[in-house]
Formats: sequence, structure tokens, C-alpha cells
Amino acid sequence: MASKNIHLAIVIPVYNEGRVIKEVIDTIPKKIKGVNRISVIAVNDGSVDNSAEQIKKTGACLISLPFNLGIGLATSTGMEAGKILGADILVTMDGDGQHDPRDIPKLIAPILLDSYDLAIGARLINRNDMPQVKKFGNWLMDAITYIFSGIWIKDSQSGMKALSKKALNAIEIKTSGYELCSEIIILAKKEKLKITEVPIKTIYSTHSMKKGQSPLNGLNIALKLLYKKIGG
Amino acid sequence: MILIISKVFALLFATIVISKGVVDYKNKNESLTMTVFWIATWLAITTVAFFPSIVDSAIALAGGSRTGLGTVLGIAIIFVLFISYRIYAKANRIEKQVNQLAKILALKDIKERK
Repeated sequence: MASKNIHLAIVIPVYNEGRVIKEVIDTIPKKIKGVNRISVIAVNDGSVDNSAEQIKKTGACLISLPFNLGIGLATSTGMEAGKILGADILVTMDGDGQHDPRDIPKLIAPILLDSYDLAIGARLINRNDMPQVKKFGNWLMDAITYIFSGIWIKDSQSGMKALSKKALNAIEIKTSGYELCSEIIILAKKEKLKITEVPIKTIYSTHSMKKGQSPLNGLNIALKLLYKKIGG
Repeated sequence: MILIISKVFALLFATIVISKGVVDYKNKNESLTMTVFWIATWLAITTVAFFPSIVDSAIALAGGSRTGLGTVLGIAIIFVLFISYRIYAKANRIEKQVNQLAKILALKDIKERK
């Protein structure tokens, strides 16, 4: 990277993750090779449990949305905060504990090397542990994303992504729900950004299994993306 | 056959809309005027579905000559589609405005700190 003083911002959208959020934030590496500063931005998306109190205990930057507005809006708010704080690289990850923060260094490596603008953490390492219904739902969403973007991503719905400063400035998210994952890819392709996938591990706990989107949500997402394409 | 289907659907939708309207009014989520308006509208739709000749008589009374259930259903479908589109467009616009407002409020602190 051209800049030597790299600031990494890690954005975590949080909705009723009081049970796990402190552990998720505490597991984030304090030092990463090639990074000088790490900021953790937790966006509390109108949680009704003790998520906010748990986040405050970690010392992370807490941003609170007035009520539950969706993972898309929480993430884009976090991305906006990253821009304000002057982040050179921004990582998004889920707050339910399904992502291993120790995967962050290898996720940001292609961006640190200036090779790519968007690195998607593809949940491929222990894919066999993924329930069949989720596998089918993800495949369906990969297909929908392909229709709208023209590129096939092995895990388009992964919440763990890394964006370069160029990508952060170019991608302006308009949607507020789960269609965010597809929208980032569609916009990245439109802006001619370089995209790669980095295999990551997924942690399937009882808590994280309850979270995420239903395969039936695919139709809803497809309709929203279609409406956005028509309506702009 | 089409007549029977339209009767069943009208009755079904009317029951759902009216019962939901009453519940919303009881929970103070809807005003009395709007509740009465929707109940009256759906009662009228159900009446037309069960007695389509009413429309023929009304059109004839107004001086029209070309009557029939097909025309009425066509107009009704176009009207419903128009209303659906308007509601969706308006809801979408309001959602975007609410999201923008929420984002500005949430980021206010971080901007001031910066």
C-alpha cells in the first residue's frame, strides 16, 4: 500500500448479541502485521438486550441506531464512521460469533499488497459443517447475485469482508437489509473494483445458528435488488 | 366459475381487512375515520362481487350502455395496481428518509468527536 501508516477499522453490526458480543470484540487481534492502528466500530442496531452495555465494556467505538433498521443500514453506518475516522482498510464481520477474528490478517492481506479492493471471506474451510438448508439458501443467493452483477462469487452472502479505501469511497450502500451483501458485490463490479475471495472458517454455535437469513428471504432480496435496479 | 372465485376472494379479503382494521382501531394504531373508510370500501367490494348486476344498473342509470363484469374487474385491477404502486413508492421513499435521518443522528457524536 502507498500509505505507510495503515489504519484498519473493523465494523460489527450488532442486534441482540449481548451473550457473545464482548467475546467477539475481545478476540479481535490487538496487533496485525502491516497495520499501525486498529479501531473497532460496533453499530448497535436497536438491540433490546444488554448488547450496548457489553460493547461499552470492551472500549470499542459504539454507534447506536435509534431502533432496529436492518443489518444493511447498520453496516453502511459503520462504513460511514470508518470513513470519518480515516480508515485505510475496513473489515466488516458479524456480531453473532460465526466469524473468527483471527482470520482478519489473511483477509486484509490482498488489500495490504495493493492487489485487490474487495476481499470476501468465503466460508469454505469447514463448509461441510454448514446445514444443507443454509447451503441451498447461499447457493440461491450466489445465483441471484450473479444475475445482477455478472460475477460468480462462491460465498456472496458472507458478512466478513475487507474493503480498501478506494472501495470504501466508491461503494455507497442504498439498501438496509440482508441484500447488502449482494449490493456490495454489484456496486464493486460496477465501479470496476478488483474482487477476490479468501477462505475463512465459520464457527457454528447454537447462538449463531439461530441468526442469519432464511433461504425464503432470497425472493425478497431479489425483488428489492430488482426494484433498486429499476428505481435507482 | 370466475364469478364464484371472485366471490370467495372478495369475502376472504374483506374478512381479513375488516378484522385487521378493527383490531388496529382497538389497539389505537388506526383512526376511526380510516377504519370506517376501509370497512365501507370492502363491504362495497363484497357487495359488488356478490351482486354484479348492481354495477350494470348503476352504469345504466348514469347513462352508460356498455356494461359488464369484465369492465368492472378490469377497472378494479388497474385501480388496485395503481394504489399498490403508490403505496410501495411512498413507503420506499419514507424508509429511505428514516434511514438517512437515523444514520445522521447515529453519526453525530463521532463527527463531533472528530
